[in-house]
Amino acid sequence: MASIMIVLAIFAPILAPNDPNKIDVMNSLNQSSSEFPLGTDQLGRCIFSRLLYGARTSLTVTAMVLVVTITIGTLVGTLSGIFSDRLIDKLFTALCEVLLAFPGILFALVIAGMLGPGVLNIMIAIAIVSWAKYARVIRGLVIGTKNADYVKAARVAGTNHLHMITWHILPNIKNTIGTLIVTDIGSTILTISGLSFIGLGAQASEAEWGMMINEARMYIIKSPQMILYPIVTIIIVVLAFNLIGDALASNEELEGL
Amino acid sequence: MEALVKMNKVTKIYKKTNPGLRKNSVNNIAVDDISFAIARGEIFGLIGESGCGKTTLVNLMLGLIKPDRGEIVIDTVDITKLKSNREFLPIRKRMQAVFQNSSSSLNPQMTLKKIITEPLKNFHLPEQGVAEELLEDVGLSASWILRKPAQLSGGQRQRVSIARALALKPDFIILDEATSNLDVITSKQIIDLLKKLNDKYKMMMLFISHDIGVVDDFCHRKAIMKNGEILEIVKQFGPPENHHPYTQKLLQARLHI
Repeated sequence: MASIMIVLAIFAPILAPNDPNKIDVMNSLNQSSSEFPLGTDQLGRCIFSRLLYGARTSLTVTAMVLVVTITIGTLVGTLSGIFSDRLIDKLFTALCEVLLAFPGILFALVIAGMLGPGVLNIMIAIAIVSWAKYARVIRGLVIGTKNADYVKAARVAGTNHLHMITWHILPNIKNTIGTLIVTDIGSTILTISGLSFIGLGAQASEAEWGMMINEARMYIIKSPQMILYPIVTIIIVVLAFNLIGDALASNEELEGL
Repeated sequence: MEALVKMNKVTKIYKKTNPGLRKNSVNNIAVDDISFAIARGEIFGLIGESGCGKTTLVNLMLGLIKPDRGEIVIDTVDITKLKSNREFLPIRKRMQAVFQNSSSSLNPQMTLKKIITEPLKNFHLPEQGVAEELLEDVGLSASWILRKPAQLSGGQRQRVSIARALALKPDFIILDEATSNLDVITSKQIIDLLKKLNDKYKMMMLFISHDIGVVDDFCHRKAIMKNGEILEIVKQFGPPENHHPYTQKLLQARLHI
């Protein structure tokens, strides 16, 4: 399901039957038809086309947020783990503790509020809030791996810190980091949609699932399918990624036995 | 014979701080005022029960940890005075180690070729054909160079660890319980291999074990260790009554098994 959604997002311009932003008030709040498979919204825009383009926005923003957070988290966590108990580790650990002490979503709201609405700004807000969690987990993984005998043997063989990280530590924790990323895709999609829903993310003209729910709430009685489709889409996509994450995590546990 | 490694009144104390508001710290003396010397080409055995400080002694000799007191002289260099990894590098080239757990002492992501040639890469030495030659030296097929550790048995993995340790043609090898996790037949094969390699390369070996029988058979001199202290060093075990009471217990236990 998750891969279908990724394919749909990539090929949205080909698969979408209509322009997602084309306003046609004469056709507003229409039911499903051959021209508009899932009907139209209050401005007569095709809901199906907007869902497809919304997938592009949600998945692209999620991917970019995760790339940024995992890069910062890996860098900080690895340095902290390699130099554990040194000053650099204490500083990074203190910084992570401070960031993790804030309720994430509220902190993201404050940052997004300060930076102003927009997809780029919510990406920055979520990245600032999320990297510390990765850094802490990766620090623990690095400390666990660096005590393995093969790392000790590599130290004895004269391997330097950079090669220790690139040859021995990262290759052995990459699967766990991958599982962590996939497990977080669902919650990141929800956060992005949540911020867009309250008006801090995508702008009204942009096709984005959270924004679509926000616009549809005024028409919940008159045209319930308008709010139903983006909600169902979010549930299916988040569920699919969470299930993949769970399967990967179970696989990791089995490999660890 | 000329001493290659000299331990002179070496002491290592681990400070354990109790968690909680009253952070009492307890000193655990892992290695207590130990002195001995090992000659070039000699096979020196170290026998002691679990927790007696054998591994701490190995880590001290390998420069992985610093002693609280005393000096560790390798040839003419006191390694306790070396401050950086860079200063330690020429000594690293001369000493290698084989660890107890064959399954955790080889990086599971690397091929045998990469594992064996890693020390050569670190010192920018030629790698051509070395892995194949060393695999044959330790009784494995040269055609296995692209295999990964998971494809080998415990004994085969230990042979690969030995091959890696030989790659730099070191002056001495520390074998930290290198046969403890192996079955009797494989253990005997590894001991025979080590004898052959000692004859061929004339390298000093420090063989650490809790099995007095194996040490007695394999080593030129034997040291008995308990609670961080060396109780006695002997060339040959005589009648039990001629030894320290703890050695007597070890010898009697050996007779009864």
